[in-house]
Amino acid sequence: MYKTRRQLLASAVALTLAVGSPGLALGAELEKAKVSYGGSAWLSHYPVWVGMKKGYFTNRGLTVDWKNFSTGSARMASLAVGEIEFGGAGSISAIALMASGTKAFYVLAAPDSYATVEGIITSSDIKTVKDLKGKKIGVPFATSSHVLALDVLEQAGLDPNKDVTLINLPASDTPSALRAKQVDAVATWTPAFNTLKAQANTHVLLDAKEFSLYKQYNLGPGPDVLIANRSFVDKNPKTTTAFLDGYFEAARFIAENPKDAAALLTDLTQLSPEEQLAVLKDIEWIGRGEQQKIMTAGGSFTKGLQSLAELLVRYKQIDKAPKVDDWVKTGLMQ
Amino acid sequence: MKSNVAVTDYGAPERASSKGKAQWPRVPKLAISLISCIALLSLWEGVTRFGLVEPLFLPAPSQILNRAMLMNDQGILLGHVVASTWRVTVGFLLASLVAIPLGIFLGFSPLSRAVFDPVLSFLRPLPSMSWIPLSLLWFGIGESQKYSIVFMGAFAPSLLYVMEATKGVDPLLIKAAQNLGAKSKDVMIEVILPASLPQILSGLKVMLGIAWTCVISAELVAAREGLGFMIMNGKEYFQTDTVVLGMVLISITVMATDLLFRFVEKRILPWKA
Amino acid sequence: MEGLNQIPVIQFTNVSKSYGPMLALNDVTLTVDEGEFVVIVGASGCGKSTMLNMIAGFDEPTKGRIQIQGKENTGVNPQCGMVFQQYALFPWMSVEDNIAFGLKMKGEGRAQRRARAQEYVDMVGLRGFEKSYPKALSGGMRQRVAIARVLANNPGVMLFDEPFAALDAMTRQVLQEQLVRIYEQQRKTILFITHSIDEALLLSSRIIVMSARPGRIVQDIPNDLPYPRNADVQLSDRFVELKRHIWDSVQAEVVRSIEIAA
Repeated sequence: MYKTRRQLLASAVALTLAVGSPGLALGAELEKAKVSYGGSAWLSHYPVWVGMKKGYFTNRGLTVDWKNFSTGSARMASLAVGEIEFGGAGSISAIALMASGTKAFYVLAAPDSYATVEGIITSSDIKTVKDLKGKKIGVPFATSSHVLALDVLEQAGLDPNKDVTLINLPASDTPSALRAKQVDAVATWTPAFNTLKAQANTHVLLDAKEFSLYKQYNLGPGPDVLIANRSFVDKNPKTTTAFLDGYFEAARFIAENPKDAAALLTDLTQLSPEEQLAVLKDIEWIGRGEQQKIMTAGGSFTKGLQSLAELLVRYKQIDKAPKVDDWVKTGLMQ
Repeated sequence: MKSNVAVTDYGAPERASSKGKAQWPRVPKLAISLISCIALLSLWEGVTRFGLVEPLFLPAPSQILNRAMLMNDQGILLGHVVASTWRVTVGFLLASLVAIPLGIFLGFSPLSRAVFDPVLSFLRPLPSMSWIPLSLLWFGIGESQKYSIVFMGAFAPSLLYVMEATKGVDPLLIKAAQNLGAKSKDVMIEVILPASLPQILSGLKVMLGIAWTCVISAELVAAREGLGFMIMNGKEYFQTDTVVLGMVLISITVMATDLLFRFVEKRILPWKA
Repeated sequence: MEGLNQIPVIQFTNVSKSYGPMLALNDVTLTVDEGEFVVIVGASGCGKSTMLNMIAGFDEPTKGRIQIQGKENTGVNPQCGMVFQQYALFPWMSVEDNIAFGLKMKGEGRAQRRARAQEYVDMVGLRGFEKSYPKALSGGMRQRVAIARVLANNPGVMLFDEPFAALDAMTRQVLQEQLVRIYEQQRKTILFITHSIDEALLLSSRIIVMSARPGRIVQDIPNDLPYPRNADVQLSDRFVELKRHIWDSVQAEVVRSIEIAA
């Protein structure tokens, strides 16, 4: 009696699965039908969120489990130990993890570019970078804005250790610190950047277009990268490709239908639809067609990333520059 | 003197000197600790050197030493230690300076205890981290903000320690002092303070450890030096050796302050020896 | 009576004391005159300590009135210096500072305190231990410091709450003789509690025997043993006679208290 009931239950479940998910036939080809993605409310994670909502992963037989991490370093550490398979990260965090010597991850893609939502904002009396001499600058340390500040100070001939005082502030605290005149300038990114930009008595000193590598490679100080656990990718190439396919389908959807995408994203970012739309306008999505080109050994992204690594060494943020090619994985996007 | 008088014995002898348990001889104990220390370090070095553990998860002791020398050459190592130690010292001393007199007063006066109790009960469970946003608004991003975090983390528990210590004072001593003409103020200063000082000091020793956890959280925000900053920055750059070095330095600094504390304790409590 | 026109040092008028439902002391009336050495004996729990605590102002009577030199206590009364069984020395103070504590409370200067303390250190025979901490002293020495501490404060009345009970027999005898000598010199009014009839007879000028709980006065006996006294007085016939007399009444009370307990 008991046995029969259990058997009955099992076949019922199998039946439901077979009928209920049209992707099952496809899913059978994938090595793994379920992956975890480490994300946050930051814009580089939008494609995964939209892809999940639009079913771009499930119709490829892939279930994506969203794990929220508030800091990039925590997300990357989890990815390196294999607790999550995919994740988004800032390139500085990725370079730092490479510099630590761990080979446990791949850089798969550089999905977005933005240079106008990050920069340095000052109190209105500071008009040039040189005016920053002797001033206090609030900067989230170990981030793209930190590197941007170091870079533009150097371009202006100022010593970041002697001529100015850099103070470690989380990006979200930069508006209040500048408003309370606790610092004379902040280097930060959106939404803090956009908030401050809209305010009176502040002055946008520069945005990320002033970054030396932007001028050379069209690369902002902190381009985002899509990363994945190395051994997972090696063992599960089909799953990885399915994930990338879903990812870039979603990125294209966002680029082509910003209004619809904004509506899907508000529950992730807690922004109003208008604010969300404004953020989307500042992002340039790099489609899958271009990825192959920029990610190869001689590609602009790889070269830019290598230069960024060397820049970090020069600013004593990391000890030695890793050879970033060793971590870049191309050829998974047919 | 004659002692041929029958006097009843009261049977309450002088306090019998209790014999402690057999103690390890001093030198072997030290030697054993030293050997265990070396063994642990070699094991650690071994597993990391032969690649059993990736350096990202646990760097070898030699790598940590290298990092220490590198940072020393860069001239930043001592700065981190001094910055944090100074913040702990200032915040902790301020907390003690307020908590000791207030705690003695509250311990002595049930009425004022009733007045302060709601405030204290509210403050006590708040972790020092939770004060960071407010402290930034009140004190800005300078050093006083760091002191305030240490102060807020150490103050309420210190106050409770002092109150507990004063409640533990033998009431007979208070009785004796009053009997000799001591007023309330005299009882607090001349009896409760010195009588509870040993407990207060051992409580403060615990608080010193808590003050260190506070300074680490204070240095997460708006700091550019300090061991907490060093650890957080190391974490952001996946420099596990820097992280572990920071931890080692905290431990060493706390041990050193503990020794200093014991020395001071001996000086202020000669009657305990 | 010699001092009819004189205010008694201690006056109990129909004093009762209860702790909750428990009656500790029942309707005690007692007058102690200047210079008397009154020893109170009685079984455990007869309210002897309660009497001392009320005199010192640590406690208040539930009923009746206690006057010290004509005035009722309004709090702890430093005029009634207490020597406790557990010494109650301040462990963080040297012998000298312990003895000078009362003087410090009176606001006397450091030099004067030190000179006075030295006087009492000598009186109780502790020269050479001025700078020692109580921890380094034997029980007998500690109690001598406690006695000196009260003497130095020069109270009108000295109260002793079984002060020698925790000491060994030899030490106790030394201290008893020392206390008799101090009494002979200073003629302080003293109230002294003990279990020991021998101690009572050796020290007192008057012995009060208390009943078992609730405490009442059952005997009030003048002790006419001649001064100066030392331990030898315990061999005299009068001593033995008084002892037997007191023992009989105490024994009756002890038996009664055992019966109550059972």
